Amino acid sequence: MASPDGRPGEPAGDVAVAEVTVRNPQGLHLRPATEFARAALQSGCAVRVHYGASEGDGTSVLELAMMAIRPGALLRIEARGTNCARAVADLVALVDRDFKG
Amino acid sequence: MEILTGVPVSPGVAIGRVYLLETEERNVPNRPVAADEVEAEIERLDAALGSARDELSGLVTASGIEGDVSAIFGAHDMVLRDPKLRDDVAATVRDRQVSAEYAVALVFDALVARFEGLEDQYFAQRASDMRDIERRVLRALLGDRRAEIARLEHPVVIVAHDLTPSQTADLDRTRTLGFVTDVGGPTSHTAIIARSIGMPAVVGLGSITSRVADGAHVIVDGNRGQVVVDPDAAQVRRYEQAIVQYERYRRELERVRDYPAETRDGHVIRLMGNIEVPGDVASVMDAGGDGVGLFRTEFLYEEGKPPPTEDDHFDAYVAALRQLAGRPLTIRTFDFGADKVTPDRGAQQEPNPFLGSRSLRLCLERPGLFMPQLRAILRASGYGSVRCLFPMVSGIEELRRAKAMLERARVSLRAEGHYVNERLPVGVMVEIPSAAIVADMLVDDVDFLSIGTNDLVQYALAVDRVNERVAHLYQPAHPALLRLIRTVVRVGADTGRNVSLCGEMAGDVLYTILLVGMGLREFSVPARAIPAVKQVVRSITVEQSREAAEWCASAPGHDEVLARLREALGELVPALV
Repeated sequence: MASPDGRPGEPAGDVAVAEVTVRNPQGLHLRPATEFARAALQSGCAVRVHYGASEGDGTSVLELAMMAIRPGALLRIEARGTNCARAVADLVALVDRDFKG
Repeated sequence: MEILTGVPVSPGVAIGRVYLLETEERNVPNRPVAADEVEAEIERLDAALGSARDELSGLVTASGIEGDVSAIFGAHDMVLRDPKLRDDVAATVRDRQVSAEYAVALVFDALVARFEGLEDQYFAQRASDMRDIERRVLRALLGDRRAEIARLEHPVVIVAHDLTPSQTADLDRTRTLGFVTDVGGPTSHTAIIARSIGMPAVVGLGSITSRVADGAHVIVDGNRGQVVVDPDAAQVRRYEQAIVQYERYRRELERVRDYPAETRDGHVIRLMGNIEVPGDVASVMDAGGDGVGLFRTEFLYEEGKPPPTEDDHFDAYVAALRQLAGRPLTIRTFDFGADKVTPDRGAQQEPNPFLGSRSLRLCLERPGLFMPQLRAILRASGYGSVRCLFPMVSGIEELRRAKAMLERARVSLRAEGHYVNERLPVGVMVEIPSAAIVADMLVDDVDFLSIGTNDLVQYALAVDRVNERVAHLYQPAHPALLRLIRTVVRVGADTGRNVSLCGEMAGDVLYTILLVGMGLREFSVPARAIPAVKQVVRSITVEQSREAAEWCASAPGHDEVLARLREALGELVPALV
């Protein structure tokens, strides 16, 4: 796992944070995790996802899937970099509409 | 030092460094890489992740899949793009100095363990997705290495789970010292190719790919079927002597070419060669052969082209006869079917082609295919010593129908004013057990008998020789085979008919003493096997061979016979055992 400070070479600058509750029936399984990671990757920001005591890289489908995020989970999404507020808003919207494109 | 035992399939000894050829199996071997090769390994990893993604998108596009399945592949694609995956594998390559494929296997093992450890069953089941993704990456990584064996940089011993016949044929022969595999048997096509290119080989070693590391020092003993891993100095010395001995033996084979194939007590053995095209006659003559005992005429037929005309046949036969300068040319009529290419394959799919309309049966059904060949054989017989051999005869009716066709060809040629050989010798191939059992009933209708052991063993023991699951049951010296061969030899002796023996068994010097002892005096073997068989013939007496054959006849099992034959061969040709 990467350190909480993020990976080297990560874009510095602004930070945006938001919380959202996962509502789809199976939680953040492989397909929703794929959608999430794809959107996080596209944002160009460094994205961290916090769930209870665990946290992971939002652009890594593997880290997200291994967090075993269940239905009803409260996630804290943190983005760093250019347009990070927009990135966080988009990711929250994605979770809210049950990861549907 | 560790000694592994497998099946010796091609003689000779090789000492060298291992070149590990990984396979698609999950069993990925630990291949260390030097510090200065680490970056190149990471580049291989990136390329492999890229081509795995390309393969995946190609799969989705080509199959036109959508919905759930397409979403699963979308997830796989995201895993392949996952920075965590790439970084973990790269770090493993760097920290542990191992190959990209081994690092991939380690990282996926850890991932799978993490997934399987998750309490939620749905998440735990994602472990199988991880294995699927892993396989795709490994295939991308290993594919390139598999292609490399055609152009090696240093002399190496190839170690692989298995080699396909085409890979064996593509091996860079100047740099390959020998090869060893986890699976395979003595009659697999790979083994046959190894023997034909004279490369020491041991197969069926079980798990050698996971027991040796790339670059390890090994000795391949193709005579005894052993592989010595990390040999000590004494072993290396011993084997270096064996190599010297084997080289001396090879030089002796060079010399023996010009001597007659005669036993020490003066019995002459006729050693003929097998050919596939007229051009092969030269290698039979070079090897010191006494003629052609088997012309496999199927090779006149080219896939996708019309069957050869009468003149195509005639030209080929005359070309072979010219080079033979009076020595015999035994022409086996078309033996299509089963494992050989068939002119109308696909026209009728047979559920069991080995028991179907192949070979002579197919020819009798199709006079348009058969007649031109029979006419050409008769015409060519005016140009040299031709013998006509009918394959796959199961009983007298088939033989008589074939002979009737030959007679029709003769009548029509005579009417057309061609020269016709009235005394063309005709023989049958004894390769179906029924033909061996009733050889005394067939013999009056023929001039000679030729025992074809490959099919005879296969049909008598109900074993497909290329099926590895039953290859261990393919036993040429099975007591039943020895009885069948003895029956035919006795019929020949009683009636004064010539009996010859062809097939892999004839060219394997392990069986020479047994076959001579059983009364055989003519063999047809691949050209390259002629000197070795001749060398054994020249070092035995008929008396001694008879004793060995009698002992073998009373042995109940194939293993006992083989052990005895190996012992006998060891005394005659120490370099081979």
